Amino acid sequence: MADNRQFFKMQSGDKYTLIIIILYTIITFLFVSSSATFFKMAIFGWLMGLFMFIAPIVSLIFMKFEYNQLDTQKKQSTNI
Amino acid sequence: MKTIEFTLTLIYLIVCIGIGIWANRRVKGSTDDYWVAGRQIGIFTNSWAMMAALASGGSVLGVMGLAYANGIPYTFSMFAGAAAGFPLAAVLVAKQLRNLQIYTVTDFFRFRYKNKAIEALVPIIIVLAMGTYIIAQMKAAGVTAVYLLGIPYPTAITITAVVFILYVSIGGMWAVTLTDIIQGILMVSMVLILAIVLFFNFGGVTSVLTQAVDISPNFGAIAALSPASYLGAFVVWFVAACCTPHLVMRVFTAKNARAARYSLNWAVVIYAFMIVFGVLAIASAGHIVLPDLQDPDTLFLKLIEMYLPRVIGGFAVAAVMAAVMSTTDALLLAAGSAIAHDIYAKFINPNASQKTLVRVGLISNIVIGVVALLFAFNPPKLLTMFYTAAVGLLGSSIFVPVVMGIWWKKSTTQGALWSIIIGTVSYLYLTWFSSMPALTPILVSLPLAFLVHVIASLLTQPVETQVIDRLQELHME
Repeated sequence: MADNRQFFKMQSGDKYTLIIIILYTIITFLFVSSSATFFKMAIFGWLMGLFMFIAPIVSLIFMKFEYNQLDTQKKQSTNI
Repeated sequence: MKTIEFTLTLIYLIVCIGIGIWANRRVKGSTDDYWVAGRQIGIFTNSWAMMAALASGGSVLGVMGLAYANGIPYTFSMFAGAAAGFPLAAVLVAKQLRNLQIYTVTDFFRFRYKNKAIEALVPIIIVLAMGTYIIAQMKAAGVTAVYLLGIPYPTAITITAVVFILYVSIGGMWAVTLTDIIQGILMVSMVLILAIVLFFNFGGVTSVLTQAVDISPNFGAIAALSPASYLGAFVVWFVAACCTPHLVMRVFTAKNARAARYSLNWAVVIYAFMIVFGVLAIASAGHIVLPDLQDPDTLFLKLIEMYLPRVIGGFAVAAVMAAVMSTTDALLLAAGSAIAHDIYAKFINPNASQKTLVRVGLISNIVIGVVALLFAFNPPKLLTMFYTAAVGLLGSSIFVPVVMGIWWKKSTTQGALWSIIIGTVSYLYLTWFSSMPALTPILVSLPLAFLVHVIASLLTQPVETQVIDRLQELHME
């Protein structure tokens, strides 16, 4: 059956990673004009610093999950 | 002349040349080995090499200076853009570009859009942007050598340039990869050692930060710049990993798509440790002990002198050189590949043998390196801002057609061509002729390029179905 969708299909793990990264960015930028601080530094600064760890770690977790599933499926199809 | 520092730096430079000579034997006239290290690089090696390619002189010298001058929130927003951009590249482009088995970003345009104007335009933009980036890096090497080795600026940049031009030219991507591992480990360890020493001296992370803010209240605040500046700094780096050739080429070197995607993320984890802890310790301590520093870019070097023993300080000089060289070598190779592979092999001599192409690549690398060196004798003033503007140019012109070309089936050749033209022209116009704050032109040029791409694609003929079928395979592999 021909695939008539305009966009290529994205893996669900990749979709979640993308959504989390974009949502986190939007939420963080809501604080860009905020004067709220934590240990005397703007919350925006802390959120951005944290983002540097969160973004790759979220991506790694979903990727690991996706590849584990893929490997299990491959193993099962080989056994059959 | 500072003997210990000079000797350690000299040993480091000799090791780099040695690696270049070893890599030259491995390359043996194969374009696969010269441009993409035979596509054999595993996750560990590629993660360090990617991190080293991203972490330039700007990430060691410039980031501390930027945080000192503009505060931590602004600095983190710029560098978080890069950190989030790598996972973005892992999701949006890594698998498809790796599976396509190509050498350069232009190869993707050749496959997807099949248009001579695009094939000529893209390498020109790449050479211009990469050249600008190289000049900024050479300045960082020069500043370091002048400050810590006590040798004149022109001598310093000439020595550094000769070394990396030599090992990149003769050893290609193998030399870049192997030197990048050493350089990456060296710079991360030196920044973290200095950070730990400073945390120990000032009572920990929060203590050093609060002391610094007490002295300079703007250091932790969002005061001096408009929100658009923060967003612009973030976006420039957010889109960079998807389209900046010296980073994308590392995706091509991975042994498979899985290794490429994992390494993009691990690279950023390492990078995050270096930047976050480095900035919190070094920029904060700078405000406490050097509150009236005239040239913020020298902060890291000054604190090394003040807090580290001379032998470790010598390694730190080598680490800054490493930061500069690990990015510059990748930039040089990317620019060289644009000339040799994308222009010479496709337009001038399509029948050239692999051996000839490797030789042309070698000559291109030397020429670009020498031209950049000549410009670096009169360097720009704002290091990080200068090369970030060059990265912004690439993002504005190439990001949209690359990402849309991979994901949107209706993306057409005219859409790509016009988005490249409009993205480039609008970015350059706004950068040079408007009063927009620094790094914000991308906030206009990128959406404009996207809009033009969509409209032009919807109005023009779709690309051949074979291309879409092949793209489908790339998504599945």
